[in-house]
Amino acid sequence: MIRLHPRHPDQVRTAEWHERGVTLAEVLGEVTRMQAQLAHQDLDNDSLPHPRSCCLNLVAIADDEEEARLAERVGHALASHHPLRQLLLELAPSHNLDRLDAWLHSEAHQTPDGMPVQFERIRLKVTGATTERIDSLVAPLLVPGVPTCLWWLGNPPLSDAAFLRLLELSDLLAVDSASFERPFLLTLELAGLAAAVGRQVPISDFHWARLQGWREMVAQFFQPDERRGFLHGINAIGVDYVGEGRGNRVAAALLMGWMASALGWKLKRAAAGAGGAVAAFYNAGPGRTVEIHLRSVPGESLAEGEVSAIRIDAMAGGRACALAIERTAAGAEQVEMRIDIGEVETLTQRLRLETASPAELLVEMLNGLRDPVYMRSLAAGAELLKAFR
Amino acid sequence: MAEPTLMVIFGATGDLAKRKLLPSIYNLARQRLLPPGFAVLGAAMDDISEEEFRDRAKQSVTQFSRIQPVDEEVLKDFLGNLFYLPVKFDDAGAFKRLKARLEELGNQRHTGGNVTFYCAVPPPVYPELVQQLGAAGLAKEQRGYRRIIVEKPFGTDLKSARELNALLQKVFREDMVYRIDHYLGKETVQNIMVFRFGNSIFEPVWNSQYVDSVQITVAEELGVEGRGGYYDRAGALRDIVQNHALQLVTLTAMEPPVAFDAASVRDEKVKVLRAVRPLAVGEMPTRTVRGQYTGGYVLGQKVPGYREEPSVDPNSETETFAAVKLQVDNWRWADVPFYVRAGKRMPKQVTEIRVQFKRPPHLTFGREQVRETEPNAFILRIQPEEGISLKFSAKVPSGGIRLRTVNMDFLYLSSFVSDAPDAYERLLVDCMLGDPTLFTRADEVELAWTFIDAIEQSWRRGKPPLEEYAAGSWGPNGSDRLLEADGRKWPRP
Repeated sequence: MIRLHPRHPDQVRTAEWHERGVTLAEVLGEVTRMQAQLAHQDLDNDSLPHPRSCCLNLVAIADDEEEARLAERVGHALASHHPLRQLLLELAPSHNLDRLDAWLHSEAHQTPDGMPVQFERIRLKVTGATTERIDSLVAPLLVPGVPTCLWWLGNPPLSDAAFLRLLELSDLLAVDSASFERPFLLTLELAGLAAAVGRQVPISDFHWARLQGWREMVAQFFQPDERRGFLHGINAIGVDYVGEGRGNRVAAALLMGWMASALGWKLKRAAAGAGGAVAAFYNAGPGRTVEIHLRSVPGESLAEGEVSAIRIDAMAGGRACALAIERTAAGAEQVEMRIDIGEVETLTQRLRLETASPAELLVEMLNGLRDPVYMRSLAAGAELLKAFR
Repeated sequence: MAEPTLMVIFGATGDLAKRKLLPSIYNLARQRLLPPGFAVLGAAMDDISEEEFRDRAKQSVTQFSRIQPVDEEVLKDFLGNLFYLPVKFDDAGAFKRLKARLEELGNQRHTGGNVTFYCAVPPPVYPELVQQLGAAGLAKEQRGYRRIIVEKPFGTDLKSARELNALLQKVFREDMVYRIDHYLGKETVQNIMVFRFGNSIFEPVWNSQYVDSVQITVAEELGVEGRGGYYDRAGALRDIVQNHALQLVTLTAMEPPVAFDAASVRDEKVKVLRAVRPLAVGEMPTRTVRGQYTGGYVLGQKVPGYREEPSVDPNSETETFAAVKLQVDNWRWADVPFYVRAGKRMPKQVTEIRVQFKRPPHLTFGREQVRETEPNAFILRIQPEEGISLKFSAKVPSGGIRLRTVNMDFLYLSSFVSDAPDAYERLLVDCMLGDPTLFTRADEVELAWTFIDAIEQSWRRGKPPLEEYAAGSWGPNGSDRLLEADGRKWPRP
């Protein structure tokens, strides 16, 4: 995981501007003026960084003030790794008045290793019918020639024309399925979108990115040569998740989708079980079936939808193997891993689940840009979710 | 510093003078780039007093000067050097009065008989204006020089361009004529030549061996802005492609001139235009695209369709978007397509030249990795953010090999502390200095029209048909198809 640099507060120069009821042409003019202002300040102090470098447009769409603040924090933190222009749009379509309020923030700073970095944030509050044509606000503000990441906080309107037009301007779509209000339906819709446009515009999901620790632990277990055989002898998997209802199964389904798509399993059928548990059966090859169980469990220290445990049973070469990774009661960021292979005594380990900030997760997404593993996992996970309906 | 001179602006009460010429001259005054004795004599049909003209000039400088705030002292001096004479262009007597006024002002201000005429009038007025200047003896260089600046468009087709050139050359020598295409006065346009011929590292790869294609975009977010009547007769092909866009083609494709002087530079540009392969009638549907905008959204504002604009024929077939694929048939550019597109009501104002290079011959890092990255490209941005970018692949800092396209950017705005002069300022000074390097020569204009005329004639026959595009988009679908047919796509500027 990449860690982000802190800033040197004494080497940060900023320029600010704010106006209500503006036109986009005025905003564009002001952005240029602020760039010039920072550049001209170089005259006073040669040691300060050159203010022009940009490798990313981060377009963040927020539904409310809270989401906008989160986007601001992430954009600011991200800037030390990806010099960027952030376009932050807070949308209020229900307002009667068509209006644009703008807040511009531009800063030039140096990372501890002396790397000059520039960060620009153009925050627009868009009200009324203009929210339907935000693409016409975004396009002129994009820095040309650098990738554009569209980060839609909250609930992206995946089938809206306005959203699709914005997507056409983007090189990556980032969402957080954990914050969807109706995660079941929206995840299925997201999978449909990925199937339709995923080759042109890759999609990333913070929820998926937060599963990286789980995926790494499972993958590492099967990494040694002597355990590879178990990978093709898996016969049962159980995943526990926090919260009730089908919407909270998304992360668990993505994990299952990851394994199923990686190992070439085909979904045969699904069934609802007792006590919030659901079961499904995969065809894992000639005469071989893998049974999976997704189970809802209480988890006070965890957010709804989080995965709390994964258990895998496998057979290979006449030996049985069981892997269990469970969050400990002590804390949400710690897991206990138990490994039983053959007659050998159970191996128990306590491990930390790496907790990355949203900015660090976004850096990972941006570095990968296109994540075919997620795209496959999303498709298979959505198929599983749908089968449980 | 140029010699003292008088500048007569025909059409001094018009839009060009208001928005560009008077503010530019004020800015030259502010930068002390005007010669001593310099004065402007405004000449237009409006029957207004000198005081009224000065009041209008004051307003236009205050509103449109690129250097703000306005310096009151400089402005006062500037206004003191403005004079006005009502002139009806069909009135020979008015030109006699103009001659007398110029002699009077010349004597007062010791300008030695030097006069520059600026034609900021609608093109249909040019012939009469030039004839009147000739008839009044105002083009004769008895004492001092006489120069004439002619604004584009230089004609509306090859025939009218030839007629205009013939008329100009009947009254003025070619070296007295300054055909202005303000694009050539932009810093980045001039920098194309400096970039190519002032460095040794780019020119070796500037040819068909390394270059895949050249893509030129001239996009405006504006509509016709009250010029519907003019634009409906012109269209994007004649208004932009014939001049601005083809100028960019010539500067990108030209051979190194022997020297940076008018004759050498213009000779090389003309050679490029001679090498542009004329399009055959059968090629028009596959090599040209014409479009017209319908209603849509630009910069967040709802805008009407072209046919709903004031002064535009509601059944107009005029194109507001033009795209052309052309070939420069010479040794350097064999088989390298030049794609040119120009349009109104695009998502934003941008002019850029993208020189796209071929992919590496051997895929060392695998096909998948290379597909994830864009081909190398030089992007010369003319406006609004004047600068140059180089795109290349770099390794993502992590384990393994992952490639990403990154940019190396040069921006005028932040690299040079002093502001770049406005294109008109630069060109006005060049004209006063007698340097026509950045002005267009008669043969250049005619060669450009030769290429454009063939397209225009085919378009008039409906080949290809006019396509619609929504205001705020990058043009009609045909524009994308033009490149997709060759396995390429337009960049997102």
